[in-house]
Amino acid sequence: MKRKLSGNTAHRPAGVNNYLPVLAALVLSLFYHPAVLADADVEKGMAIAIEADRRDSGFGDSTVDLTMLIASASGDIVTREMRQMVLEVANDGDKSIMVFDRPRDLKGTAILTFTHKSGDDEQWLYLPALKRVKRISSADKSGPFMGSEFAYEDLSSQEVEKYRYRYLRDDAIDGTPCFVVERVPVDKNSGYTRQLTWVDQDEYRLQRVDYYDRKDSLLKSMRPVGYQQYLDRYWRPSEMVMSNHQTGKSTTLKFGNYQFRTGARDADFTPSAIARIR
Amino acid sequence: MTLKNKTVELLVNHAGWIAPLNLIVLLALGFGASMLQLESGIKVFFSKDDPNLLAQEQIERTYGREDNILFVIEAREGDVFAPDNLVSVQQITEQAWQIPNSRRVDSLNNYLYPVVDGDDIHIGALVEDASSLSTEAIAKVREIALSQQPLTGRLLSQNGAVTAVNVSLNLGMTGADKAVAIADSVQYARAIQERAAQANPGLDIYLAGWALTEQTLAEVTRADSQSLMPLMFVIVLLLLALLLRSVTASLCTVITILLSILVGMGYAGWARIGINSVNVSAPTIIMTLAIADCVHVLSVFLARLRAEDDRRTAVRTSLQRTLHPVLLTSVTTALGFISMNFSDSPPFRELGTISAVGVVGALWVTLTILPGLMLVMPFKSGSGRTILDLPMKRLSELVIRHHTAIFWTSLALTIAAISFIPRLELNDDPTDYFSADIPLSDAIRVVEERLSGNQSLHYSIAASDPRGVSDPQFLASVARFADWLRAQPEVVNVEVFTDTLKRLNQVLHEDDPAWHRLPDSADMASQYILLYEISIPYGLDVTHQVNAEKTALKVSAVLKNQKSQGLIRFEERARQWVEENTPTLVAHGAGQSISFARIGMRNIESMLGGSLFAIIVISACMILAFRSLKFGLISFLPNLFPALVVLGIWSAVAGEINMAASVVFSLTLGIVVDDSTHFLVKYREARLQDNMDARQAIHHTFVTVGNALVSTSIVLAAGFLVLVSSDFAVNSTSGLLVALTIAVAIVLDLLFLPSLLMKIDRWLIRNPA
Repeated sequence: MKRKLSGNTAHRPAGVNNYLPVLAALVLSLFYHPAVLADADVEKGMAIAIEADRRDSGFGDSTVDLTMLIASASGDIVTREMRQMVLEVANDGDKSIMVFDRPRDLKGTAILTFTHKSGDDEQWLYLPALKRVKRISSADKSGPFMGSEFAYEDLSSQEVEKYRYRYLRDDAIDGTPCFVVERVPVDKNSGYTRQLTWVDQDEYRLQRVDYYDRKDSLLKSMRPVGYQQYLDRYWRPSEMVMSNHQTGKSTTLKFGNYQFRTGARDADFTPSAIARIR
Repeated sequence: MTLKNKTVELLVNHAGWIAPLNLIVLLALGFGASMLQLESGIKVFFSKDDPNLLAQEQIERTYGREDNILFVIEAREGDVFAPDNLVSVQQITEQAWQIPNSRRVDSLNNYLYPVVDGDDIHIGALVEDASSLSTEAIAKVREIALSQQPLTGRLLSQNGAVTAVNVSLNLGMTGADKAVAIADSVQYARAIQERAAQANPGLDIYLAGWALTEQTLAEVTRADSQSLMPLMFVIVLLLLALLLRSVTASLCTVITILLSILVGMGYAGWARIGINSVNVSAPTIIMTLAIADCVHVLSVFLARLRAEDDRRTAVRTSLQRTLHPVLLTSVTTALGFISMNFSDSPPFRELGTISAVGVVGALWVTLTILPGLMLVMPFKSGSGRTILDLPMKRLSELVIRHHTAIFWTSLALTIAAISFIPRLELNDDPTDYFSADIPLSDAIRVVEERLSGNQSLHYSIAASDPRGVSDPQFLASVARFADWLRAQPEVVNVEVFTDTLKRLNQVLHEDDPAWHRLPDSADMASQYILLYEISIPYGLDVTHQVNAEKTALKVSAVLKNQKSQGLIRFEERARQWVEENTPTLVAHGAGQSISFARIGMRNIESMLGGSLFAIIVISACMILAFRSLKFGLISFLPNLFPALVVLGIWSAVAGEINMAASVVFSLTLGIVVDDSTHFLVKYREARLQDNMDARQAIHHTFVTVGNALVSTSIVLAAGFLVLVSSDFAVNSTSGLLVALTIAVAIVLDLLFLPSLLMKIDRWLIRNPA
C-alpha cells in the first residue's frame, strides 16, 4: 500500500486498516528505546504518522501523470514528463514503476522500485537503448533527480518505519490547523538530518515539509497544493513545489489524470515486465 | 594689497571664528565616515557588465559557486592508503559536511565508483568503510584510485602520498554577510584540521582554497590595519616631532591629518562608497599630502618663532610664504587623482575621487584650522635652532659648483634605470600573495609541488543539437578538447562528464574494458545520465558538471606553475585550439583564477595609465599656474622620473611586479609633486620676483624649502618602510616601492632638478633680470 508521490505521503503500516499491529509495533519499538518511553511527544508524533498512513491505505493501485517543471539558472523552464504506477503491497512497502515519456531520449525508460519497511529498497532500471534491465543498488539516493530540486528519496514511498517521529507543536498553514511533526530518517545514509512536516488536523494530509541537510541547515521546503479527494477517501495534490533555500532554485511537480483500482497485478511489477511497458 | 595678502589677513585675523566654524562643517562632513561599509571579494573590481565577471557568474549560477575549502592531507610516510590514513580521510570527509555553508564534499573516499556483478550494478563510494578494509581491499582501492583521471592531480597525487578533501561552499551572499560566512566556514574547517592532525600524527594537514585565500587576506589586512598602520602612524609622528623639534607642531600635524582623512572618508560615506582593498589606500594617500602641507607651513612658522617674531606675525609670514605652493600642489594633485576616474574598474575610480576630496580637505584644514591651532597651541618659542640641521647651504654650493657633472650623472643613471623597464613583466603570482609565516603559503606550496595546481579554468560548453549534451558528436568533441587539455604540460587535471559516461558505458556492458568509450547514441547517453542521477547521494550530483536543461557541460582544468600572464596566454591558446579543431564548440575559459588574472593585469595597466595621465594633467596645471609653458614642461620630469626609476630598479632586481606596482604611482603622486612644486615655485619667485641669478636662486630655494622637503621625505619613507613587514605581498612590496620612490624623488629634486634648472636657465628664462 502507499502511494508514492501523492502529497499525503502516507505513513502507513503495511496494508492494515486497524490499529492493533501498529500498536504492537509501537510497543515493540518503545521496548527497544526505553529512554523515549516517557516522551509523550514521540508517541503523539508516531500516532499522527500512523493515522495519516491509515487514512491513505487500501487504495489498491493507482496511476498518475507527472510533469516536472525545473526552473533553470538562465530562467528557462525545463519540462520532464513521466507516469507513475503504484501497487499496494500487504505487509511491506509499495511497489512502483516510473516510466519516462519526455524528453524523447528517455522515452520508455522505466524504474521499478520495491520499497521495504526495513532494509534497503530494491530497484531495477530498464534502458530501451540497451534493451536490458539492470538491477541498481546504491546506499544513498539523496542526490537531485533529473536536475530538479527533488531527490529520488523525496519521491519514493514514505513508509512509517523509515523515520522516527516527534510531535513539536500546532501551527496553521493558510488558516488550516496543522500538527508540526519532526521526523528523523532511520537510514544513516539519508541526505537529511531531519524533516519538519506539517500535517493538517482535519484530513491528515501533508501540507508542508522542511528538509534539513547534514549540517542541520534548512535546505529546502516542499508545499503540496490543490488537494482533491478520490474514491471519496484518498486525497491527492495537483502540484508540489520544492524550493531550495540555499540556491534559490525551485522545481514544480504537477500531477494529472489520477486513476485508482485500474486492475494492476503483481505480475505487472516485475523486472521483466518493465521492459514491456510503452 | 594683493589677493594673497588679503586672504592671509582674513585667515589670520579671523581665525577665532573661522577655525571653530570650519571644524563644525568638517565634522559634519566627516560624520559620513560612520556610514562606511566594507565590500569584499574580487567582484568589487568589476563593473557590473564586465564580460569576465558575467562569464564567471553565468558558470556559477549554472554549476554552483567555485568557493571552496581544500583539506590537503600529506602522509609523512608517503602512503595515504595506509589504514590509519584512510580512516582519517574518511573522518575529515564526514566532518566536512558539517562545515557551515558547505554544499558538497569530494574526497578519495566518497569518490563514486560503479561496480558490476552481471546485471547488478552497485553505485557507491570507493571507500565505504575505511576501518574495515582488508589489506587486499586496500591494495585494490589504491590501484583503482590511482587509475582514475578525475582524481589524480586534483584530489590525489600520482604517487599516492598526498590527497585532498574538497569542500564546495555556497557563498551567494555579499558584503559583510559573506565575510562573516567565510569566517564561520574557515573556523570550522580549522577545528577539523586540528582534531585530525592530533588524532593522526602521521599526517600533515593543510588548508587551502578560495575561502582560505579570502579569509587569510581579510586576516592579514586586519593585522595590517590594526598593528602596521598604527605603527606607521606612530613612527611618522615621532619622526615629525624629532625633526620639527616640537611636540606641539607634531600634534598640530596629527590633527590636520585626522581631519583631512575625515573629509575624504566622510565624503566616501555620504557618497555610499564601499571600502575595498583598493580604495582603502585613500587615507594613506591623504596622509602624505596633509603631512606635506603641514610641514611646509609649520617649518616657516617655527623658524619665525625662533627668529623672535610674535605669534601672529609668525603665522602670517608662514601663510604668505607657503600659500601659493601649497595651493598649487593641492589643486594639481587633486586634479591628478580625479583623472583616475578614467579607469574602468570601480575601486580605482573611487580611490581617485576619495583621494582628491581628501587632498582638497588637507588644503582646507591647513588654511582654516591650522592657523587657529598655531595661534592658540602652546609652542615653546625661540630655541634658537633650525628645525633640521641639514647642511642645505653646503649642499646647494656643492650642486651649483658641480652642476654639469651632477646633471649628466643623474640623467645617465635615471635613463639607465628606466631602460630596464621594458624587461619588467607585470604579473600576479597567486602562490606568492602571502609571506612564508602564513600557513596558507605552505598549503599553496604543497598543492603546487606535490598534489595539483593552484589555478583553474572552467568552460561551459553548450550543445547546439536539440538532443543537448547527449548528442554523440558533441560528446566526442568535448572529449577531444578534454584530451587536448590533458596533453598540455601546464594541465594537471581535467574534470569532465564524458569520463563518467565512458565509465558507465563500460559498467553497463558487463564491465568490459573495450566499452570504456562514449555511448554510441543520444538515447543511450541520456539513459546513462538518468541511471547515474537516480543512484547518487546528496552533494555528489552531476549538477556541477551538467546544467539542469542537459544542454551544456562544464569542463574544468587545473593548471600548475602559472602566474597571471601564463594563465591568460594558456586560455588564449586553448581557445585557438578549439576554433581550429572542434569548431562546433565555443569554449571560453572562465572562473575566479582567470577573472582575477585579467582584472589584476587590467588594474595594473589602468592604474599606470591613469597615473601617467594624472602627471600630464598636473603638468598642464603647472603651465597655467606658472603662465609658462617651459616651467610646466620642466615640472613633468621630476614628477615622472621617481616612479620610473624605481620601476627600473625593481625590474633589474626582481624582473616582475605584482599589483603593488599599480599603486606606487598614486601613493607617491602627492608627495612627489609636492617636492618638485615647492622647489620650482620658490626658484621661480627668487629668479623672477627677487631678481636673483640662477645660482642665487638655487641657493635661496635650498635654504628656504630644502629642510621641509627632506623632513617630509624622511618621515614618509620611514612610515612606508613599516609596511614592508606586512604578510600580504601587495602591501609589503608597495611599502618598499613607495619608500624607495620618495627617496629617489628627494634625491632627484635636490640634485637633478637644480642642475637641470641651471643648465637650461637661458632657455627657461628669456629675459634675465
